[in-house]
Amino acid sequence: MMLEVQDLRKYFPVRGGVMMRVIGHVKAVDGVSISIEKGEVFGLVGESGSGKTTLGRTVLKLTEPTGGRIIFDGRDITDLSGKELIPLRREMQIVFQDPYKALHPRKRVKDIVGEPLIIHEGASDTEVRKRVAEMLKLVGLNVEHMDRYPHEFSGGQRQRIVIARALILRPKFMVLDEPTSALDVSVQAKILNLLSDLKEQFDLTFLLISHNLAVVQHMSNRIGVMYLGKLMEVAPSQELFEKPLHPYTKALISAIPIPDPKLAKKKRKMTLRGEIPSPLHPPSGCRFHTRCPFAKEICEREEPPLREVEPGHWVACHFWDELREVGVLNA
Amino acid sequence: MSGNGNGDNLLEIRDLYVRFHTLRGIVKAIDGVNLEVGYGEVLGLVGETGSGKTVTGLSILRLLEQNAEITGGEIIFQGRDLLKLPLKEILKIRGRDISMIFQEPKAALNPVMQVGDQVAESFLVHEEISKKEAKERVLEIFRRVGLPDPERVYKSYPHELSGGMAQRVVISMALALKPKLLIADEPTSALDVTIQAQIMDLFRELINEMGTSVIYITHDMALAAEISDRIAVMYAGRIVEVADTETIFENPLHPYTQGLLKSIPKPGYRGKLFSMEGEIPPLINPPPGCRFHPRCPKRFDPCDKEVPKLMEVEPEHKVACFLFGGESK
Repeated sequence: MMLEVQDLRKYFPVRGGVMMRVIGHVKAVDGVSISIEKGEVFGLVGESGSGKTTLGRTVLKLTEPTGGRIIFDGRDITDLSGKELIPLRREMQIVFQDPYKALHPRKRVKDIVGEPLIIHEGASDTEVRKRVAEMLKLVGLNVEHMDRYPHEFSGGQRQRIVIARALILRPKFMVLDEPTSALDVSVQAKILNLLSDLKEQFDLTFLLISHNLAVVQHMSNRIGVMYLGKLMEVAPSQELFEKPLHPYTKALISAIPIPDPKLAKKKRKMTLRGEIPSPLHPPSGCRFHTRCPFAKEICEREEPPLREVEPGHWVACHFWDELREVGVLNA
Repeated sequence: MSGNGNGDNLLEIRDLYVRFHTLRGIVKAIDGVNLEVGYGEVLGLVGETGSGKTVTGLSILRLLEQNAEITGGEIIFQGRDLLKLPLKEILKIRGRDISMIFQEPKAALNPVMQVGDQVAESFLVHEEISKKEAKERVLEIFRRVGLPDPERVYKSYPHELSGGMAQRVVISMALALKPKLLIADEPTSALDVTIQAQIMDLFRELINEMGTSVIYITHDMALAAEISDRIAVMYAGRIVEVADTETIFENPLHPYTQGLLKSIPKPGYRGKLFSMEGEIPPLINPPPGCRFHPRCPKRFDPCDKEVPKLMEVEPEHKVACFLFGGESK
């Protein structure tokens, strides 16, 4: 197992009033358990406020968890801090959404991509140049790009620079947080292909976070669906799309526009009512009940646990079985 | 119904050229665009960054930035060339005959004014009615666009609304006067998918109900497919292909349209995605001839020298590509 997350929680205090006292908590991640196998791509989907980005940052210990455990490659890293984390940083990396913000505007590509080598290995300038050159080639850039500045590159090229920097220490595990959301479709295709190639070449494991279901579906072996800090469903990628068991998953899938007018007409739509509730005051019971077309009285009172209902297929819904019987969630 | 350039169109853009004067040089953003929008038609205007889709939309209402210059062409709306009208006339047309919705609903709203009053303003400016009547009509349209508790929303300020609600307010404002043409520029791109689905449903209903013609600008081919009768594909400031929606998806002819469609991840397919050679060119120094030729897998002799004309190669299916015998301009 590359990563095991057990009952992970991350609460952010909310302050208010004259004294700026803590008046509540945003439970951004509220009891999430997932395990990611070596070599796997685990996709995490969800809308605003689902906690997917916070989860990604917490498993990397970029932010302190409030509760739960994080086991990385067999080691419990939950309580590591400060210097103890440095060796870990070599093994786990993150790629963010916006390649325009992730790169220091006044540093040359060589210094951006090579910096981790200096910090972690104290590499010499010749060594840095050599390894940066290799890495640039691997991500589809040229050696000549080494001495240029970020503004000289297009969005797609910048994301390649970000990926080169993340990979230069040869990590085992990468969190990809919306890696293509700021890019055009034709550029997105290239970056997704690049990530797949690099994964094979370096034996990487990915946690891919995105609001774009088509992208997640394309890349992932398994997918987890988050809503207001909780996992609603986890299943192998194809199964999740073909046989969703949670009404929220079904709604998400049916909300993706289909790039095929004939299929789009046949598609069974399930449009949710209402807005996504504020994560500061999540609904009682099942957090999805306020928008669920099938909610009954129990949903408001009792939170359904995430249960494995078929091998590898987990769902948190009181009525998953009945809904499947009636077939309302079928494609 | 669909635009065919023979005079029964609501809007006709003829040979439009727009350039921007920037510190780095002149950006040739729109380079000879021809486009028609029929009565009651939804035209999807699709393209990637820098394709000129937004600039085309802004040109119609003369909303371009100071550094933009329209260097040629006509935009005929109901028999009048919008580019030649005095600004006073354009102001009358904005909101009443043609309105526009943008990606960021909150940027379109005044942050220190109650949203209801902002919508009421459209009535008060263009029609002679009392404030009380205007308020009644705002509440009515708020109910129609599915805003919960219209009275409360009326008194809200933009920051008190969610993105989805703010977009509903903006839609109310845009459709308040039942315009003949609505230009919607990525109206759902800032919204979550489930909210996007709600807004798209609402859009479809309202458009059908009012018979409004729409130019729906988006980078998302799939979204365009769901709402458009016809789709025009733009690349680097030019229209490369126009056809009805099904034809664009089933029989795309331009190599760029084909590449774009193949680049989209599709359910059930997990192999390599098709990826087009090269990147979108800078428009300060665009490639000569067909602007797509450096990336085109099928380029041949004339492509880097001459500009292919947008020509009808099948009924109602226009392509700007020499592969289909396109003439040069």
